[in-house]
Amino acid sequence: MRSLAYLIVFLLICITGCKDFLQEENLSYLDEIDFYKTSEDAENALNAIYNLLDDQGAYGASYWRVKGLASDEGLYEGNFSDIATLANASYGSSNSEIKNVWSSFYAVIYVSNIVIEKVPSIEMDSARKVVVLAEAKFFRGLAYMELQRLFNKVPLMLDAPFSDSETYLMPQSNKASIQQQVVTDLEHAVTSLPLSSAWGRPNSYAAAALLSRMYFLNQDYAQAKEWAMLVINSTAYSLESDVNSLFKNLNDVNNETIFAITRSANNLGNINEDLLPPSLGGSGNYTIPSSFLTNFDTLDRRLEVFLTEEDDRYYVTKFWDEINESDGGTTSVDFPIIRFADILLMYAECENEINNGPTAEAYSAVNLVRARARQALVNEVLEVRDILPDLMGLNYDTFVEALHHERKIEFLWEGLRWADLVKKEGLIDAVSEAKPTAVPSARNYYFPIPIFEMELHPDWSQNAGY
Amino acid sequence: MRTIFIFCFSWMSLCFTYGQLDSLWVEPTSLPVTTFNYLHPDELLIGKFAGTWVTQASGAPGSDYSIRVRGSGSVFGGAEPLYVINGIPHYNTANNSDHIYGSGVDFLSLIDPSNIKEVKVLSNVVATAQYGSRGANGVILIETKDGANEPFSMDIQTFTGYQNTYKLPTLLDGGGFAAYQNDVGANEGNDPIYTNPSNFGKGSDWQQQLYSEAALIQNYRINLNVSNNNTSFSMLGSYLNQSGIVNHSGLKRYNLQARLASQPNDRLSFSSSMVLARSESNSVLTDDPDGFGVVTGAYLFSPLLGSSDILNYQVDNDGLPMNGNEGRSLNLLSSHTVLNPIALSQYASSFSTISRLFWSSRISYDITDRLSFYSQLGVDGIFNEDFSYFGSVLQPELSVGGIGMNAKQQSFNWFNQSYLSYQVTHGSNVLKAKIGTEIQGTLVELLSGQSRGFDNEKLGYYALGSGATKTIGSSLDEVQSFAAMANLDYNLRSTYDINLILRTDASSRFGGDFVFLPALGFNMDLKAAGVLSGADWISGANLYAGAGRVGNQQIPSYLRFSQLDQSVFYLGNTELKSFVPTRIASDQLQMEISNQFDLGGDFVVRNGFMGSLEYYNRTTTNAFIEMPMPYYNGVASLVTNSGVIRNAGIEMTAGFKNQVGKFDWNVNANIAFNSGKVISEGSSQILYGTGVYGMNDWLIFDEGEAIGAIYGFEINGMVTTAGADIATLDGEVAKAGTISYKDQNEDGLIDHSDRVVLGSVTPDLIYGFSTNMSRYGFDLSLLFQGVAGNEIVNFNKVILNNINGTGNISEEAYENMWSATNQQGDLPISTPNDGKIVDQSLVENGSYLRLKYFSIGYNLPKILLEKIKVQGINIFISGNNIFTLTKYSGMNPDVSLFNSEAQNMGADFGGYPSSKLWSIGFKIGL
Repeated sequence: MRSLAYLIVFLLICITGCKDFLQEENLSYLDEIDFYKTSEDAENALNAIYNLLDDQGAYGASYWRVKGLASDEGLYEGNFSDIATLANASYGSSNSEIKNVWSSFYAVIYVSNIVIEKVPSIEMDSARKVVVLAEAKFFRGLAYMELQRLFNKVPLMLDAPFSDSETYLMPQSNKASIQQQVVTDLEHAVTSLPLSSAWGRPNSYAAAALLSRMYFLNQDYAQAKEWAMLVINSTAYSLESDVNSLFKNLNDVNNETIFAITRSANNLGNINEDLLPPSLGGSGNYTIPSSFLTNFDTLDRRLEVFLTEEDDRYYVTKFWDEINESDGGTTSVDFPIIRFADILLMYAECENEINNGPTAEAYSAVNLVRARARQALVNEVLEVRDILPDLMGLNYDTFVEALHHERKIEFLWEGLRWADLVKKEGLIDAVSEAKPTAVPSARNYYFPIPIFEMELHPDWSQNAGY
Repeated sequence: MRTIFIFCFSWMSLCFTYGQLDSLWVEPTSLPVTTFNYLHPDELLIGKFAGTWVTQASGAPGSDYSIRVRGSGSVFGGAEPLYVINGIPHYNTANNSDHIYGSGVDFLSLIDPSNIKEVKVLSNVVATAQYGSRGANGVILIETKDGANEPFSMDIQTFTGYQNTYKLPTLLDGGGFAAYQNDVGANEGNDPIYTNPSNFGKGSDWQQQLYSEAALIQNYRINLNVSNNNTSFSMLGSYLNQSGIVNHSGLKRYNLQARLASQPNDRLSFSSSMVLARSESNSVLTDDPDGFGVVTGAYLFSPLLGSSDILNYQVDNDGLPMNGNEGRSLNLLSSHTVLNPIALSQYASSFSTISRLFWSSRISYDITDRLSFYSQLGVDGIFNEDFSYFGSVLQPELSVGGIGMNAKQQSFNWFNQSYLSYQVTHGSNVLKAKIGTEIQGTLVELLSGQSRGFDNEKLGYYALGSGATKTIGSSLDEVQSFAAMANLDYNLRSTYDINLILRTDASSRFGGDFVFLPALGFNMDLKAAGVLSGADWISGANLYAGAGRVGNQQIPSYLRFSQLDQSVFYLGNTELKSFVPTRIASDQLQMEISNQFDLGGDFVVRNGFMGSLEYYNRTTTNAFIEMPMPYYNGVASLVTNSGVIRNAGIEMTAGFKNQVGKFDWNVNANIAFNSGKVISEGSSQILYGTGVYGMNDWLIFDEGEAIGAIYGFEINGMVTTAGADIATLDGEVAKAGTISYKDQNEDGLIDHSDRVVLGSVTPDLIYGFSTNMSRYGFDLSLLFQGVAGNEIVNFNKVILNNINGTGNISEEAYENMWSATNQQGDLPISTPNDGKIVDQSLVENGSYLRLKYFSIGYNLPKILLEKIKVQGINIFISGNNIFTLTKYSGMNPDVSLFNSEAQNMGADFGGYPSSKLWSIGFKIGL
C-alpha cells in the first residue's frame, strides 16, 4: 500500500510539473503578442489598409457594380442574379454584392482600428508616427462615410479585437454620431497629414476634400464650402487640360486627382473586364441606358473618352487606356475617389445654395469644368471645340439643374451618381426612366443591411422596405 | 482435418487486450476475413459492425475512408474515430493535398491488413472512456498477428486482377454535340453553325481515353509464423502494385510487418511489433472542387476537338478550332478554363512517396500475485514527399514555363502508457484496480518549395532551382497531451460487474487545462443471476448499461492564438509588405465533451445463434462550431464550443455460426438506426459547405435540423408561358423554359431567404449482411452492405445538364431539354448564375444496397497435398463492388468530394471514380 501512496504522490507531481509540456507555441505564424513592437511593424500594419483597398467591396468589383447599377447609369444583361437585381432595383438583404461592400469596408475599419490602437505604444520616429496614425484615421473616416451613406445606421466600431473574449456585439449608431466620428477622424487627418504625399497615399487636402463631400451630401452647404475653399485656395490642384489624360496616365501623377486607388502593372485592376465590350476583351454585360445620354452635345470630349458605341449599345471605356492597353481586360488606370472637378462643382452648388442663386464664383467654378470639356489634346495639340458655352444668367433652380447635368457626365461610373440622385431625391424617377423594367421604390434610398449581420444582432432594425 | 486458411475470430471476445479492462460484454468483433482481398485496413470495418458507417471518398488507389461510429459527433471538428494499433492511439490523416494533384494517399493504407488478427470497434462509453479525451467518436482497435498457437507455418499468397469503372455517364458524341450547338445558337436567334452535324461522326470520346478498360492489380505476400513454449513470432512481407482506372495513376506498396511476443517466466511478458512500409503513387488532378480536374474535364471538353487541342474552343463548320476572340469561343463563354483532360492527366501530375516506420512494445510484470506493472511504448514516423508538375503545354496562351512543386512532410508520434494494476479476490468476488498515466506527443514538420518558369520541360520538380520565380514555405505543428487515470472494477460472483473509470486529460491544444472524464458501467450476467434459469436453450445472456463523458480533440492546433498573415503587394509601383490578422484567438477553446448513455443486452443460443440489441444516446455538449462573426470584428468566423449535437439510436446484430456435418456456415447481420440532430447552434444558423464549382453554403447547421442538412431552393416546375407572375432569382420577368423556384416567404423575389432544408447527407439506417459457407473444400463468402435515408448533392449535374452551350452534356440532358416543341422536358434552356444554384434537382436519394465482397475458393484435398509435401493450397476468385442497387444517378452513391473532412461530406463532383475489381489468386501453405 505504501508503494501505492508513493505512486499517487508521483502522479500528482507529474500533473503539476507537466504544465510546460502542455503549452503550445505556434512557430509558423506570428501572433498578436509577437507583433506591433517596432517601427517596421507599424508600417506593415498600416500597409494592410492599402492592401484591402480595391478588394471587392472597398472600391473593387462589388463597389462599382453596386454604385453603378443601382443608379441610372448602368444596365446589366449578364447571367448573375445578384448583379441583375442591383440593376432592376429588386435586390434584397441577401444580395452578395451588397454584402461584399459592407464586409470590405469593415475590413478596412478593422485594420485601421488596429493601427490606431497599437501604434501609439510603439517606439518609433515621432513625426512618422503622427503621419501613420493620421493615415489610419483618414481611411477609417472614409470607410464610415461610405457606410453611413449606403446603409444609414451602421455600428460604430472603434476597437480591434484579437481574441474571442475581446469580441462583443455592437448596437447600431445613428447618422449624427457616425458623422461626428467621421468629422473627428478626418479633421485629425487634415491637421496631421502632410500637405503633399507619395502617390497613392492621402494628404491633408484629401481629408479636407472628403469632409467637403460629406457635408455636401448632407446638405450642410456652409461647412462644405469652407472645406472646398481650403482645397481650392491651396492652389495645389488644377484641372487637367484634357479629360483623356486624366484617365489614361498609367504611372504619372496628375494635378487633378486628390486621392485615388492606384493601379499599376504590378497591381492591375479588373474593372474593364466588366465594362468593356466583347470586341475589347470585356464581358459586354454592362451598358449605359440610351436615355442617359440625352441632352449632351455629341462633341463633348467626355462622351468620346468615356464611352464607345457598338451596335447601338454604349459601353464605358473611361478606364481603358487605348494606347497602352489595347487588348482591354485588366488595367493600370487609377480609380479616383475624389478629384478637383468634384471640388469645383460642389463649391459652385454650395455658393448657389447659400446665396439662393449663382454667384460669380459659382459661375467661374462650373465654367472651368465646362471649358475643360471642350478641350482635346490630340498629337500634343490642344484643340478647343466650339461647344458648351459658359453658363450665365441662370437662376437658382436652373443652376442646380445645370450642375446636376455636368456631374452626370463628368463622374460617369466613378461611384458618385447614386449619392447625387439620393441627395436630389430623384432616384426613383431617374431609374424608372432609364430602365423601364426596374422597380425602384422609396426603400432604395438606402441599401439593406446584409441579412447575415441582421441575424447576429436581434436588436438591430433593418432599413425600411427590406 | 481440413486446414482452412481463414483468419478466424471468435464471436465472443473475452480476450485480454492490453490497455483495456476485461469486458464481459460483447463487442461484435467477428469477421471471417477469408480470402477477401483487402488492401486497406478500413475495409475490415465495412458492413460488419452495427452502426459503423464506412465510405470511401475517392476511388483513387490508397485513398482514405471516412468512418463514423454512431453518427457524427462533430461537424466542424473531426468526427473520425481514434485508431489504436497494437495499443498505440493516434488520429489518422491522409496526405496533405495542397501539394499534390488529386486526393492524397491515406497514411493508414500503408499497413497491410492481411496481418491483422483482430479488429474491434469500441462504441460503448465504458470502453471508449478508457481513451478519455479522444474516445468520443469511437475507437478502432487493431491487433496484428503474433504467431501464437502456430508452431510453424509459412504461406505465400498472390492474387492478380483487373479493375474497371462502372456506370459512366453517356455524353453526346461528335455529331450529337454539333447538333446541340446548333440548337443553342437557334435559341439565341443565330443561324446554325454546322450545316451537317452528323458529318462529325463520333468525334473524340474523352471518357474512353481517360479511363483504362482493365487496370491491373497484383499482390504478393509471404507470411511466417513461428512459436514455441514461451515465444512466438509472426512476420509478413508484401508487395502491391495497383494501377488506377484513370490512366497515369497508380500505387505501389512495400511492407514488412512483424510481431514478437514472449513470456520468459511467470512474471514477465512482453511483446513488440513493427511496421516498415513504403508506398509510391502517381496521381492526376481529380477531386477538384473548382472543376478543373480530369473527370469534369472529360464531361465538358468538346468531342469535336482532338488530342492536340489543349483549350476548349469551339470549332467551325470545317472542324477547325476557332482560337482567339472571334466567334463564339467556348472557352470565353464558360466561367473557367477547361483543359483537354488527356493532356491534363499527362502534364499535370504528382508523384508521392510515403514511408512509415511504426514500432510498439508492451511489457507486463507481476510484482506480486496481486500487483502488476504494465507499460506500453510506441513510436510512429511518417515521411512523406510529394512532387508535382504542371507542364507549360497546358498554358499555351501564356509564355510562362511549367510549375514544379516539392513538399516534404515528416510526422512523428510517440506514446507511453504506464499503470499499476491490483487485483484482490474475496471468495467469488473480484476487485481490480488500476492507476496510471498516459503521455503522447505528435509533431508534423512541413517544407515546401515551388518554382515557376522552367525553360526546358525536362527539368521539373527535381530541379526547382532553375525556375524563374521561387517560393518556399515551412510550418510546424506540435501537440502534446497527458492523462492520469484510475479504474475500479468489482465483479460480484461472476454475475454482476460494476466498472468505474476516472480520467483527467489535458492537451496543449487547449491550453493545458485538465478536464475530468468519468464513466460508470454495469453488467449483469442473466444466466448466472438466475433470471433465465428455465431457458436451457440460452447458453449466455448479458444486460448492460453505461454512462460517462469522453472527449474529442480533432481540431487544428494553435486556435488559441491569433494568426497574422503576411502578404506582399504593390501600391502603385512600390512593393510593400503588410500583416493582417486572418484569425483571432479562440482563447477559451476547450475540447469537445460527449455525454453518452448506453443500454443493451446480448445473448447466445446453444445452437450457435447469437444476437444483441443496444440503445445509445450521446450528446456532444460543447461541439466545435465556426461561429459566424459580425464583420466589424475583422474575421468572418471564430471557432468556439457553442454547438450541441446529439446522436441517438439503436443497434442490432444477429448471427449464426454452426457446423452441420461437414458444412460450416456462419452468418452475421447488423442494422443500426441513427438520428443525429443539432440541438443548439450557438447564436444563429451557420451556413457552411466549402465551395464546389462556385456554389457555397450548401449545408446548414441549425437548431432542430439533422446533421449535414442540405440547404437550397425548392422547385415548383418549369415556366411554360413567358411573363407569368412568377418570382425570379434575378428580378426580371420569367422566361419560358426556365425553372420556377418556390417563393417560400412570398415576397415576390427569389433570394437566399427562400432556401430550405432539402435533405441530409447522413444516413438514418446502416446495415450489413455477411455469410460464409464451406463444404467439400469449397468456401463461399459474401458481404452485403447498405445505407438508407441519406441524400447526396450531385454537383456533377451542374455540368452535365447545363444547356448553355459552353461544354458537352449528357445524352439524357439533351433529350430532356425544354423547348417549345418538347414541353415535357425538365431541363431549362437558360439558368441564372450559369446554372450554379443548389436546388432540389441536385439533391438525390443516396440509399443503396451493394454486394461489396464476393469470394469463392477451393482448398486442394489432403491426398494431393501430401504428394507435393505442402500444408495447403487454396485457389480463389474474388470480386469487390460487384453490383449496387441504387436510384442515385451519379457514378457511385458511396462518395464524398472532400475525403474525410467532417464538414463537407455528401458532395459528388468530379471525384476519382470507384472501380469494380475481379481477381484470381492462390495461397500455398508450406
